[in-house]
Amino acid sequence: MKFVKKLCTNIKLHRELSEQRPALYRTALAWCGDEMLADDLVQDALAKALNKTHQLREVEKLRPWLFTILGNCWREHLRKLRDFRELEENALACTSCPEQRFEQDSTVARVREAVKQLPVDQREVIALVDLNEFSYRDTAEILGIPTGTVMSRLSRGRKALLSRLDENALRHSAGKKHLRSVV
Amino acid sequence: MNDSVDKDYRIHAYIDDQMDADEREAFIKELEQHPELRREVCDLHYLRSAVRHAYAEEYMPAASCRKTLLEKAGTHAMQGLAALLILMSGVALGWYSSAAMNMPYELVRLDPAIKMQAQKVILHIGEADETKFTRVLATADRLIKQYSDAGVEVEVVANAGGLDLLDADVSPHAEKVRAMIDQHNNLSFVACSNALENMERQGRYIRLIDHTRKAPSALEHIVQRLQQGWQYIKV
Repeated sequence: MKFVKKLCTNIKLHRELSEQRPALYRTALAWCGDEMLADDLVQDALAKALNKTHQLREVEKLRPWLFTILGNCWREHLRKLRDFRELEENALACTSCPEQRFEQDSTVARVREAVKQLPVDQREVIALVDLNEFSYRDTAEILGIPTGTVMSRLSRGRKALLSRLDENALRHSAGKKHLRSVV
Repeated sequence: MNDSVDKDYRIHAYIDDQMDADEREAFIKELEQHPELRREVCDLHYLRSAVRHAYAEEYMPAASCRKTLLEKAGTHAMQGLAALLILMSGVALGWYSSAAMNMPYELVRLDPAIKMQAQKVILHIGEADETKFTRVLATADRLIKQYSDAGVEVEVVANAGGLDLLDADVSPHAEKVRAMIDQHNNLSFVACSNALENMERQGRYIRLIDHTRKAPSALEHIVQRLQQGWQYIKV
């Protein structure tokens, strides 16, 4: 019966891992800004989590544990990038064509773009606190930094985001005025 | 910590519900007296809801719903549990010797002996969908390039509508597939023979792109790979 109990616990654990997938994906997307890469990171994190379930001592700690693994996968990716710097897509991207303009008008795209422009360390904290409602202490544990650092990164990150979104909104409304004057 | 920094941190702690009851009470009193502070709180509330909105589930692409090994593992675990229960009742009826009681872990997908190998990946394509064709090739390409040092191996397994990708006469990506096969020894494209036969019965003969491999059944092939520790991604 001990085995059946263990098996049931494992099934429950696997189900919970699956349920965390959307939250992990959102976070990964906020960190890296690329949908395919976010999916890869989550896939990688879940695969590692599956392999390490025996290391999870308390099932209640599943969420922070999973996000710690995701954070490690993300940092591993950043390390690889340092050695193999990819061509900056933005450098070649069209910034004034109609599709791009339409994209920039959407709130979702504007906010994501603003998040993408933040320094990595601020993005990490904002994704954990704002998207996943982790406490400062859990965020500190997940990222392996002091709580004070979490607070300072959060504060700087949010300030930068606010000012970027303000700038975008101003630019957006200025564009509209211009169009009206032409008509 | 100077006063302005302290005030700043307290605003965030208030927004994020990181204050205890006394701190919250004191901060709310401050809010009542300082309209400017209320504006800052308001700005941060707006920001947080904008960020949540930007990453809300409805804006997540289908890619985030890729089937993972987790679902597989869950299904196998349930099958394993069922198998185990059958075995155990068999034991109770005397159909099995007591030794049978000791075998179960090998029956289920959760067997810790199956080590997942992050560098071995199956990409499964089962639909004739141009977007998915592009995505599966881009993913394969990226995995091969990004993890080349780690000895990555990638198999693109196609069945049902996904076979269009490997059809030399109709695939919009035939050239690309050929080039990828020529270029990478660690990448292979596998077609499901069952699906090919079904199509032939319906009068459609598929001429596969050269060097495409065949597996008797895509599903059996995938299950076999999973047992070998490969990662499975449904595109």
